[in-house]
Amino acid sequence: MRGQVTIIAVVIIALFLISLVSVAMMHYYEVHNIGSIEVKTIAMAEAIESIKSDLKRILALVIANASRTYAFHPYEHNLTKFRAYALEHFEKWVITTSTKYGAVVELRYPEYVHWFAGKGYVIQENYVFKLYWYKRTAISVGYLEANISLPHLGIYNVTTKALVSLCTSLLEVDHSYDENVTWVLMNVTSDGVPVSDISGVDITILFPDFDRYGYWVKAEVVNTTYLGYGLWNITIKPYIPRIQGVIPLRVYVVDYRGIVVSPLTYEGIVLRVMKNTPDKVVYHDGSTYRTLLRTTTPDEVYTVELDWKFSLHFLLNEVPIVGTPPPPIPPIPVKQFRLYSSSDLTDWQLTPFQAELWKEVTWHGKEIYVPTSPANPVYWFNQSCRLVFQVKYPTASDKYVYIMITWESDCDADVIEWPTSLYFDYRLPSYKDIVSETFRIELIDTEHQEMRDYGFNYHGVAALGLREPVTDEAYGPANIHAFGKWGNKLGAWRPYGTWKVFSTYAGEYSWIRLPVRVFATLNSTKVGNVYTGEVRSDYYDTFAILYVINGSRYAPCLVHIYWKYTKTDYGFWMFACMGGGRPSKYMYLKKQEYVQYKGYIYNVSNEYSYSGSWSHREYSYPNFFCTHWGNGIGRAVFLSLSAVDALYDIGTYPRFAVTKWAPGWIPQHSLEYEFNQLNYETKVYAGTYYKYWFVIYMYQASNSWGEWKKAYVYSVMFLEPYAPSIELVEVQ
Amino acid sequence: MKALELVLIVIVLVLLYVSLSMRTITPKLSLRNDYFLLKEEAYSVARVLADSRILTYLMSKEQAEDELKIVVTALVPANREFEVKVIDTSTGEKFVAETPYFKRSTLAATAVVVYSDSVSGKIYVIEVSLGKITGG
Repeated sequence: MRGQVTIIAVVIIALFLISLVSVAMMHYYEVHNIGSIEVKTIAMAEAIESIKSDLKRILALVIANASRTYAFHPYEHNLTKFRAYALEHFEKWVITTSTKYGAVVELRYPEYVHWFAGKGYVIQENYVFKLYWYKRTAISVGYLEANISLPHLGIYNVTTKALVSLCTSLLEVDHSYDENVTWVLMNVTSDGVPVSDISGVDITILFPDFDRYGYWVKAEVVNTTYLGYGLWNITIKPYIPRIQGVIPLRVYVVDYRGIVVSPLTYEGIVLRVMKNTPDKVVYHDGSTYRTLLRTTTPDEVYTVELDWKFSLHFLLNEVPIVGTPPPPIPPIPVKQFRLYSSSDLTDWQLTPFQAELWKEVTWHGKEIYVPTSPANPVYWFNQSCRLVFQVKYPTASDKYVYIMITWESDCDADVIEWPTSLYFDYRLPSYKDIVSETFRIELIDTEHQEMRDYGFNYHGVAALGLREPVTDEAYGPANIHAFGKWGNKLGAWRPYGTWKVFSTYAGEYSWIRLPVRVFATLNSTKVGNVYTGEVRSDYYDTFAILYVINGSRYAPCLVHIYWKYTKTDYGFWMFACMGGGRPSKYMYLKKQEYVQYKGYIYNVSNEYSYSGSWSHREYSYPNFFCTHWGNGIGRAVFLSLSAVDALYDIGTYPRFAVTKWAPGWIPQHSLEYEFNQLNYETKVYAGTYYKYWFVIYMYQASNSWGEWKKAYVYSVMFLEPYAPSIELVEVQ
Repeated sequence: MKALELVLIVIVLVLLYVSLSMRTITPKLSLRNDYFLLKEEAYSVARVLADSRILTYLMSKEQAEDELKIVVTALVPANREFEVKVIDTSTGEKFVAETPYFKRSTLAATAVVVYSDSVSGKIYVIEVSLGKITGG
């Protein structure tokens, strides 16, 4: 019995010891094996999965930031800037990830092609993301790769990829007038997967306001129906009519991550710019009417402006578009726009253009449009913008030029830096010149008072110093307006002020020269006396705009004059242009002449020579054309009909005049338009307003008689009735 | 012999006591059952917060911390104390939500997840600490 108790006790003790040993072994196993393998695996998996999922989120973050700002900010449209922000975000994210996970993360941005709707969209290497918008298909897409190492867990170079995208395609747009609705069938995918839950997507649809052209109105989304495979049928109110086969809509799609895409239902607008000049011009040579055929007109190049209402502006002309206007030019960054021209609608050439900002101002009670600046290419196209481009009609058979206004879908698209002869040579005190291949116009004004090599101080009077562009020879100034005499000296009171020159794009694009034209404005409330330097503000105000145009032989100047006080004096000039004594002959077109037995004859060509000993000559009945030529120079002045009307309405005895010498016996050989002859006392009343333009045209001429005809064929270009017109061809 | 039996009985009783005590000691020594399970749970909660869109919504609320507490309370298992910190890395601003007895936890594990919010454009660090009050 005693032995049995002992045996039982020993057995129990043995069982207890086995149990304790197994518990100790289990503990040893947990400490040394679970901690180093299982737990490590769990930690590793958690860390890597967290980094992977956040990699997509950080990519979504930078795309959302960029696309949201690009869509809704009026001028932050530089994606390079957003990529710089993106890199900052990535760097911060890598640091945070490294410190929080103990991971070493290396990001790479390789090239990637994302396919959507049968088309590949490229993200170039190091671009991280791309936005392709403003067409019927719009996508925002980003791609990057990460190399993850977790040294403390023994994990090295695990590569993970992140693709983030939001893609929308407008497949069909239809409408019902009776139901007052419009339907949009669209395909939406996110990260390559069809979006079946529209609750995470915000859709805004805008349509043109047909009562207030150029404005866009938000449509009311009344129903959304999912058709499967990412296809959504969106029903909006109201009924939106078709224009040239297109229902114009702007769509914004924003997903739950804040990523935006913006498609449009139209991708381009084709217009026809029509030449309206006649194929011939007529003049009377004193014995009979002569006809000049305008068979070849290489200089018939119009520099026109197209405003947001598709009205075509040429000088002070405004020609509205014929028929129903197309949908408005969409408010997308100006840098996205491209202009193509064609003569046959098949062969399209990319054409230079520039965008300018214009505004309507009330100037002494008159509503006038003035250019305020070239546009900043990153700003949205808006109602202040005008697209400025050239249309060329080199032969009589060229009647139309087709213009296609379209826009790049790649939001990285930038302004094209076109080659141009234009530049602004601004090196005070000697140089304030606008230069083209045809002109070097030295702007004489308050900050540049004396024309180089001319020897005459203008004391702040604003004028245009004409120079030979290659040799820099001075022809002398062109005065844009003058009144009165100072003793026996002519043109006492002329506009006084400073020319403001716009030769480059605005904002951060100021390093790009304007490709089509450089313009200068003069807003003057004073007049100055070039003989005494006296400045007064009790005469008239002047607003003038000068254009120097690339690839053309003419330079127009638009002038508005308003008289603040009534004045009486002798001598009253609309325009006076010096010739530096070089031209040997001159001619003016006489409006009418009475010839015995013939009655009145019109548009008479009167040619003269500068030779002889005289100082100033005046000729009656001036019309829209005059010129002088010889010794290698040919220069014509074209007036608008409004200018001719002003001559006859404001003046009593308007005259074409020439002056051989400037004070100090400086050779002039000028061309002048006078409101009244010099010996007639002119009274101009306060409140008198007139506007006009003159165009200086340069041409090659010998010393022969009749060389003026080379310029005369272009005179009709600048007459209001012959201004080019515009009509819509199609909306693409 | 009597002394031997007595000794054996004492040993048996001691071993019995030790064996019975193991029920309470073993979990304290075990890594898998407590700390690492807490860590896994904390990771789950942190990743649910990050991978769902809820944090974007919560951070835009005025009473973000209260909202955060409600959500995390719903996510963590029963009998867990927690402390959640959401740190805005750009400003260093912290949003903290915790249970009243979290500081009394005898065992706690923390999981850290980075969360980039594309709507607000911010990078947050989510720290979820889960604790357990054990013993006495």
